Amino acid sequence: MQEERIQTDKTQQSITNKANYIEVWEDLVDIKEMVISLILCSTLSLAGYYFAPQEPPFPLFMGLGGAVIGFLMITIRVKPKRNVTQSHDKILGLNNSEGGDNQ
Amino acid sequence: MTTIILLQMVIAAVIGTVMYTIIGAMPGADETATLAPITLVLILAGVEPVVVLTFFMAAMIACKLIDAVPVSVAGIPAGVMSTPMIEHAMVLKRLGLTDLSIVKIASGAVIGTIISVPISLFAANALLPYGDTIKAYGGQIFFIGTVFLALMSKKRLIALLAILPFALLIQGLRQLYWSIGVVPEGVNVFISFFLGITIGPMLLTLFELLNKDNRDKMERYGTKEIKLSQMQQGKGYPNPFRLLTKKEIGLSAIGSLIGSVTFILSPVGLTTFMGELMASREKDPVKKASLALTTMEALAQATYMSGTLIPLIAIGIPLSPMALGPANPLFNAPPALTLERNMHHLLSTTDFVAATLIGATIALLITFYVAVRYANQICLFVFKRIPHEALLGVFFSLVLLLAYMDGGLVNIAGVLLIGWVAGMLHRLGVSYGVLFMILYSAPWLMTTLSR
Repeated sequence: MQEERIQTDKTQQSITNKANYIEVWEDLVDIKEMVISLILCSTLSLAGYYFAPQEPPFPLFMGLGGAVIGFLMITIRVKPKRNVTQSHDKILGLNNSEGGDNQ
Repeated sequence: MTTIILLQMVIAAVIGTVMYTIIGAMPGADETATLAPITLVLILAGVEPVVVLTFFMAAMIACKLIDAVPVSVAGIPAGVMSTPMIEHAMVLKRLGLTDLSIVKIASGAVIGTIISVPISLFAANALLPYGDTIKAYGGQIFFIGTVFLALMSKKRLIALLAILPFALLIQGLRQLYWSIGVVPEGVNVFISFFLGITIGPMLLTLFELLNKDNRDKMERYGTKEIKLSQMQQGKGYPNPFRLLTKKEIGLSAIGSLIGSVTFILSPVGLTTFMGELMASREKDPVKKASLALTTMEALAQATYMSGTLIPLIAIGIPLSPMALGPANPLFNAPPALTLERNMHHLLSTTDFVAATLIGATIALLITFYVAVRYANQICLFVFKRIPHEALLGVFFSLVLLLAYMDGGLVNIAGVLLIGWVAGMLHRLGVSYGVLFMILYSAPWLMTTLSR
């Protein structure tokens, strides 16, 4: 039964490649890309710290810089797993919102 | 205070506000992880302490206020502190009232700050003569706070049972570090442990991924559908007092009052508890959610403010969750600042008042406006462009970096361990608030138990 389920999962994934993301911390990620991101950012960050000149604040600064560089690299290469649409329903405006003090 | 310094303070406040309005809007960017390191860097870089304080005040307020946006628009927590609000924000979102949610939270933040600044300053000055006594009983006070929050949580039995074992783990690791020499004797590893707890649930998920059976059992999703409701643009500068009902203003004022004096309690725990309390009598779902959000935010801002100002002005050692967390560099940033010579000793009351007023005013002016007018654009940008993987990566690497800085490779293992356990406890129902409080009361608890 386990095997059957795995088979179906794999088929589904190869056909649609859609239902493939897991939820970590309230949002969706692709496992492989997440692992790459974790390793990349950590390595760059620790490398920045390690190879920085020894007087503070350089080590922390370079460590942060490494993390930011990793962040930018991932942001450029990886697509967010979100589909953002604007709803055009009628929305209460700020001036006549229910919370105004005409209550 | 010279004109040059004043100018620097204003510039610092603006930079802090802008930076943290952006950082705070990113889901997963926790305040402690992002505020503490940057503040530390500024202090070590030699920036005038009073200027750094102004930066910090502005950043702190901006960061918390802008949390309103991801929380309301997509139900995504922008840091541990905003988690209690999600449930209520989602009630409003489901009814198409996302902009109302943002407006309520942002306005609550304004009330919270306006009230807590004078009260915190006043309370700090009132407590000044008792500073040493409070310092002496710090451990006991934290412990009482821990038990209080545990009793207030939903799963109170497990919360209470978790206190001793978790405290044991924390102190055990610290003692280990002392005995093998990676950390100087008596220095309590703190920030990395705090981050370890924050990252706990995520770590747990990561560890579970290593097991193929678990992987297959995990729920899989397609792309997440996020609907942004269209906001109607108002004119001119929004007035928070007109955007809230009298009841909301009143109750959030009370919330701020409470938050301003309970500087010892964890903001997360207190916010959850108070939010439920304040909104419990309201039956109408929209009014109930609005009330809860407004009071929660007001309380949170007030706790941040008092948690930073009171220990800084009256006590001199970090004796509050804020002071132990994001504000820690203001107390302890060797070699520039130490527990014997930090902002408490270096700044005068005028300095504190000026830094707070400048930082708070500028942060509120800018971020409140941005939150209320540009919520839609911010969310659009963040959700469309910034992948969650990138945020997890940055956060994770920050945790590792700070862990390594606090205690080398050993501490990386230690922090992972703490995160693992915290993640499991969290899953069993122990809230972040209680976990953090255990972290604060661990030293005293363990020494007392061994008597």
